[in-house]
Amino acid sequence: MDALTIPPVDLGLIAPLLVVVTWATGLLLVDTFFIPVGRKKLTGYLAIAGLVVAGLVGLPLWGVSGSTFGGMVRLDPFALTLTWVFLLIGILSITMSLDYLPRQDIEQGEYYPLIMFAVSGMILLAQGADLIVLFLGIETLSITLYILTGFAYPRLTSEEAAMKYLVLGAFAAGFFVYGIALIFGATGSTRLSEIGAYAADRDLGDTNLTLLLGGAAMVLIAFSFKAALAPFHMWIPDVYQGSPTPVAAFMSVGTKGGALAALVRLLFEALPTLNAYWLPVLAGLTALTMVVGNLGAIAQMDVKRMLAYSSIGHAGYVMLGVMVAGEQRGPEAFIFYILVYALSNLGAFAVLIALEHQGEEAWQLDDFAGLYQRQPLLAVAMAIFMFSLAGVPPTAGFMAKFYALTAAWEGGLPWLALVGVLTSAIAAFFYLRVIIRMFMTEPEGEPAPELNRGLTIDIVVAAAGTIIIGLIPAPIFALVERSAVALGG
Amino acid sequence: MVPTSYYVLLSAILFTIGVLGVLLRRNAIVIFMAVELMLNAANLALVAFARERLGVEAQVIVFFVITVAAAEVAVGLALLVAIFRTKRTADVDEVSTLKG
Amino acid sequence: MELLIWLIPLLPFIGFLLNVFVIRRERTAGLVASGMVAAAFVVTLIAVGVLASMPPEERRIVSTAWEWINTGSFQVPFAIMFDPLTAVMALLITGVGALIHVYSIGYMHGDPRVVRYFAYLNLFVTMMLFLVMANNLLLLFLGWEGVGLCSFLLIGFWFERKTAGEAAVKAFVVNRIGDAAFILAMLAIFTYFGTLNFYSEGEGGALGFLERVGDIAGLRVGPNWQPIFVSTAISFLLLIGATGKSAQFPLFVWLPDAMAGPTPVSALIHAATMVTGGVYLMARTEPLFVASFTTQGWVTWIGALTALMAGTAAMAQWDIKRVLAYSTVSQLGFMVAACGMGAYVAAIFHLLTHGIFKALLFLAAGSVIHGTHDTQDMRRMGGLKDAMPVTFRTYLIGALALAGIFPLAGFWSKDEILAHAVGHGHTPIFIILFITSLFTAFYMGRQVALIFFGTQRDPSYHPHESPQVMTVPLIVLAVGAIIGGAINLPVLHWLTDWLEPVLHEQAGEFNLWLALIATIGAVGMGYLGWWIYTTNAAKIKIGGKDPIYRYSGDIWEGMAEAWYLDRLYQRTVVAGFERLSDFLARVFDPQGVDGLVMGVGRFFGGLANSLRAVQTGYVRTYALVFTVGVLLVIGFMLWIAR
Repeated sequence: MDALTIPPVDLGLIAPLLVVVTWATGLLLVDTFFIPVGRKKLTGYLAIAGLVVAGLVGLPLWGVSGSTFGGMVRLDPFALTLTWVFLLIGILSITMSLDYLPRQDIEQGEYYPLIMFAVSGMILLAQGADLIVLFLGIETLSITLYILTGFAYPRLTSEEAAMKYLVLGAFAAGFFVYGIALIFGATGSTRLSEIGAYAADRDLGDTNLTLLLGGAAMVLIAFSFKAALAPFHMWIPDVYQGSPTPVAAFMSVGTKGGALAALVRLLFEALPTLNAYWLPVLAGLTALTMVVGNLGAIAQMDVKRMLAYSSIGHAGYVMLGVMVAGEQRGPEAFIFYILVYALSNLGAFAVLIALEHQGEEAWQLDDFAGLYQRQPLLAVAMAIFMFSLAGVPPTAGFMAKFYALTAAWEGGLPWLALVGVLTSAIAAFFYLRVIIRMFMTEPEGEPAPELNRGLTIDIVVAAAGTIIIGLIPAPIFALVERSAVALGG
Repeated sequence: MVPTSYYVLLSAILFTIGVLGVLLRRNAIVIFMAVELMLNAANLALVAFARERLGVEAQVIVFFVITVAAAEVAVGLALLVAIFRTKRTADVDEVSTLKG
Repeated sequence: MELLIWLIPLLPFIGFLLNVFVIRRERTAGLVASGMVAAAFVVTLIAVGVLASMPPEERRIVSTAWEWINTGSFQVPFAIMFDPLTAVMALLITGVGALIHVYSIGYMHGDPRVVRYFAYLNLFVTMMLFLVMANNLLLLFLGWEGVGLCSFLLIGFWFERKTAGEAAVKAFVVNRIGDAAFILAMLAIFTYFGTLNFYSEGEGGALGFLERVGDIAGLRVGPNWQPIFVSTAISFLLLIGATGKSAQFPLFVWLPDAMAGPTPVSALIHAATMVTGGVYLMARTEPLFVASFTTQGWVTWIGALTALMAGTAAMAQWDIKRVLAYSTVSQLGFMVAACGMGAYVAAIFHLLTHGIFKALLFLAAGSVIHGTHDTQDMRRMGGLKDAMPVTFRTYLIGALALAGIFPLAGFWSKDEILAHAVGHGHTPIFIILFITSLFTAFYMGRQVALIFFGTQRDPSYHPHESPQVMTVPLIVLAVGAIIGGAINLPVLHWLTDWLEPVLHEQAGEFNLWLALIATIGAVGMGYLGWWIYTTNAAKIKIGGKDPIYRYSGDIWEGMAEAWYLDRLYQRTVVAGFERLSDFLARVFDPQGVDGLVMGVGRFFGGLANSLRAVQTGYVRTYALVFTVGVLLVIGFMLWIAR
């Protein structure tokens, strides 16, 4: 056995991650000792500041490519762009929580550092180039999310959601670790690039191939679970419905982005030669996901649950880009879709928060009745989000979906693009239903929804982003294009 | 020396028992134990492979896995206590209000 | 000049923004909305003047606002263009649109949501203009979806009425089918041509796909045992898109129901402009269609069949608007059939004249409805010609134009289509279309007799003439319906020459014999229709059967139900889906499929409910499903590794 040597470490390459983690740790202490109960919003502001600083720290790293910690952590434009997207998701989620928590009587200071830790887990997933790092990233994200899901304690639905999430999450983690063990057994490494080289260079032999395939399958399943691919999606509706709304919003875009970013690396660095094995599996899962997610949403009268199912469907559309990430258009479509989906979905959840009253579940479809008469701008914003999620031009959602479909079509999966087109035709139903309620029914004497500063900022940013990216997506495409070049297959 | 395949086979059996435990038992604590069994089965496989491959990484992973498992169980037990306070049960089947 | 053509869609858009954010008063809303569309019409006229001053081959102005998508190989500009084909469409949209806006001021007076109505209407005009002005398929699709959305909102505008909501959803569902095909067509075109632009952008730019149709000549795709030509695949997908939007067989069922919307909306969207979007699409992508013999055959037969089915259905309706709706479907069938036979100019010619006189008929029908206090059943009308003189005269002109009586607009355009069918050996198509044109004359004669002649059968209301704000647009349109044929008279053929740079078509031969026979036939059938329903006026009872029913019996029933196509869907597709969905979902709750009136929706609702049944709420069930998934995935991967 080799003697242990400590590999050279370049902390510069993980600067944003470092900032988020240290800031969160510091904030946890500051919150406990210096910020009085009732003023916890201050913690939230500090958390936002930390995420902004982390984003700024990342700026000079643009264009830098390198790895450190002995090749376990990688920084490239792909990871950096995703890092920014994740930071944005974190910021928007915290903004919409600022007033939500006190309104629901669940304000605790540690909420904000926990979100930051979750963001750090996502960044780790985008930067990880080793199965150990990916495991750590996914667990950092998951464990914080278990706590956040149960944050509305002692509301039973919240506790139940957390329990379900934890049991299934731990179950999936078991498969993940066992998969790592098998992959290590087959190749003798956990480094993605080394696994890839091993699988490509040698004739594996029957035993090793079996071990590698079994391991790869288990790891893929763990990621599928996180990304909500059917049939590993069952936890999504219950967990989203039960958890505090900002957490559901954060989860819907965050876990998907993190898990799939890691999946892109795993597939195209470690397993490109096994393409013939995983592509049909993932394509099948993707098709099933699009069908199940969009069909499941039809039957929902609870808008929050409807959005949960819709997020399953969207996981399928994101996967269209992931599976063909070997081509230039694949990762482009993936990053673009994640960004657009984050904006539209966070916006939609922010509208839900505006309609939510303490203790009650005020997201039934009927609560949207005549919203246009009560709050015209809120209704218009919600309509924009719904159209974007449904993929109607000129919103960003259309661009993203069209681009993802094109990527899949060109990448040799035209039948999957066909499934995508058809399911998104079905999907229009349930998004449209919300719009019908808002614009084409009379209000039913509900009190006016509460709109405060944080929510307003969130909704305006998301709505403006959705429209602007739909009309002038070229700058975003340029950014995404340069991020994808660096991945290089 | 015992061949690696024996260890792997044992770990596979343990893992399966863990999976079945999650599927069949209703008590949340037992479910956590079953998950622990799955994780430790994986640890066993890792150590066995590490010995065969003479690689140190796999043994490092084992420590990470143990740590993470501890964190997971800590959160899980805290949750369980909370649920027990509200609902007076540790049966996961009785915590099923969210559905459809 | 580039700025000028941008003004055309932007003026109504400004009107939309003003109506959404600024205007709160009914009067201002109507004035601003009408003013903006009228201004757009003026700008279009100027642009046409500029275009006419250019040499014919160079008559295309393209203006790129910005690069919409710009990544490596994938480039789509946000660009509009103005060429002869766009010009005539824009003139129709803004011209007829402006008149309908003005008319709406009177028609919608007193409605509680007028401001919103005008906002939707302005948005519709904007989107329709984008549809016809787009220089690439993606922007065309933006307009395509946009008009569909506005149509949906306006059909369901009076959402207090249950039928309005159902009709809106039905229209939306049917159009989704077309839209899915449209997206697939875009993907296919991009794959084979690498661009979605119709034509090159200015000098030296990369060629658009319509200029490179030769690239896919002879190329085939599909399984080895039955490969099809790429051109056929693409054009067929576009055809499906067009049948949804232009209400062709078998997707026309939504249009008659769409009459639940306000009548000016029916005139603008469901007669003059949006429903002609499919015809425009086919004319615009004409090289793709011409490249596929197979698709052209389908186009022709779908058009002819639709014309005949809808024409017979129109004869047996009692609802004043449903007659016109089926008539619209029938006339759209004429246009589609003309496209299929390669007579694109004739199709566009008929599109234009039809846009004018059908808008006239709808507005006049609206005037009748308005003056009879929301009566739509023609059995409750009769003898209105004295009470509503202006409406009567304009209606008569519209009816004569539609029937194809010399020398009104409809005569010339319909004759051109028929002459083409005869001249190019499409005899069966000619026979179908000729019979349909006789039916057309008959049902218009019947309708005029039922509404305006005889005595008023329902004395419970006092009919009155509509205010000037409504009658003036009628008079203007009536003038258009009289002289509209002048744009493509047989010897002068201005329209053919004007469209020559786009459609490359030579003027057809004028067939004097055909014209004579067609006119005599139309006059005869029109008179027959009028005669039957004036002499038998006493036999028409409110809620009773048609006088002809005694002689024709069940056939008449079949016509009244549009040959049961709708009911066929109900019995087969819907019922089948229902049985299947009942089977799928033991716990079928009507709540879950709220608002999904269509059987297809029920089917998916049933599937969705069966999904819900799996979602038991027990975490162990979820773990079980998870495990099954694991076994399948690992099993599959090891199985192919074998």
